[in-house]
Amino acid sequence: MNKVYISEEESRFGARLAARFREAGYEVVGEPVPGLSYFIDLTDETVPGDRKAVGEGIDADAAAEAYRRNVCLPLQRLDRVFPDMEGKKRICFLAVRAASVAWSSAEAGYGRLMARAALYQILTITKNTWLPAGYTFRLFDPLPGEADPEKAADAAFVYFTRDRYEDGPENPSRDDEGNLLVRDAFGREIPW
Amino acid sequence: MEEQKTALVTGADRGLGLSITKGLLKEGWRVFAGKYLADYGLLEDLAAKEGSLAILPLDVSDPESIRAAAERLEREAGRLDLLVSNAALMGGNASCAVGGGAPVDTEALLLSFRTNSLAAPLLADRLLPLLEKGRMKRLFFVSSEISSVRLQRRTGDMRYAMSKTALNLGVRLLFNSLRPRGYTFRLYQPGWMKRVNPDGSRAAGALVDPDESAVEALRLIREDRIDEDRLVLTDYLGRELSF
Repeated sequence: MNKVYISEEESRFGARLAARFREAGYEVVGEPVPGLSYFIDLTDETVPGDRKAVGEGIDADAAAEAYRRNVCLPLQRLDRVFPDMEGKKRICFLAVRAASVAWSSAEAGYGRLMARAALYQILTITKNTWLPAGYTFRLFDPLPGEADPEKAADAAFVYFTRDRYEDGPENPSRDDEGNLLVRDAFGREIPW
Repeated sequence: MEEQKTALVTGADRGLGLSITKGLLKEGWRVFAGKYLADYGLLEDLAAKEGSLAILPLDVSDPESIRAAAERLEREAGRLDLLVSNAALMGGNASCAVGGGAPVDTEALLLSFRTNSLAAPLLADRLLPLLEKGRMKRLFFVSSEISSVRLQRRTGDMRYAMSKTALNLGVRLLFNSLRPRGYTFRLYQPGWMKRVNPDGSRAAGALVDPDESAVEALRLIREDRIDEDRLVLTDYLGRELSF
């Protein structure tokens, strides 16, 4: 049976996403194990002290803790099973619109948002290495506060499971498989 | 007579930081130059000839060191017109590559984050009272083309790349807060610079001399742009790079 690891399954978004995978015949596991078809990490943690804007006394330790939780630990989890994956071999993470250097209007949350930007970067470099071996990647912004979490999870399920080739796997250079993108719950591309 | 402007340059021991420091001094600035590397004496040599240069011990990864530097600036200058956030830590990628065989080294990632990414907003935060008293309100951050996710074609250098992408986002958050208050921003890709040895000579390899890169950096510091309301990453040749 195809195995799917989903972190944060206790959230409404995670529970709905897990249900959709189970309906589709996947085994959903709560710990990363070798042989996964999908690795899905839904981590997006806010650390209380990491909410200060410039001039308010940015808390370096809180920002570092947010960085650790939002990028270091998820990478460690992925590292435990990567590249020992099978089947679809797809890596999926959440994206956050406020972590777009081009678009963000945020003024606080330095550690959390810088972690997300760093995650985009390391996934892109990892994609550059592992795309030829059949690994594919997804970054999905569920639009918290705008979209119903369960509807967003339905959109995530479609985005995570469908292939997005234009010309087929032999020529991925100009499509969503060859180029890691951030897409939101409405399918819109969010710039880096 | 125009009052002498004051700048803080971090990572001024060598390379681009030292070249920018020299250029600012030539243009009449008073410069506080952050020193970190014990085995480099180039700043001390310069200070012996330049009365407007003050050497400031500064480890930007340490909030306590930043606090001490801010206190000294407050005592000795009372205001700041320009911050040049240049200090950075390079880093190998072996311990941070996913699927690289060795476990992901969280401590290495966090050190790069504190030095290359978080230091910039921390400096701005702690120096804001002094910058508010300054007339120029210009913030200059040394990033890198490696920070661009859009242009990323590498399969390595993960730790450094992550830290510089995170820096760009941190600068965006600063921009969102401070641009409406009159601050102007520079995000700079200095080029693949030649390494400067402790005696001032250049190591072999790389493309750009730090003095050459500093010419464009100093132009960006000196001149206003017509599009200050856009945060842009530009390089030593004046080209704009995508994020």
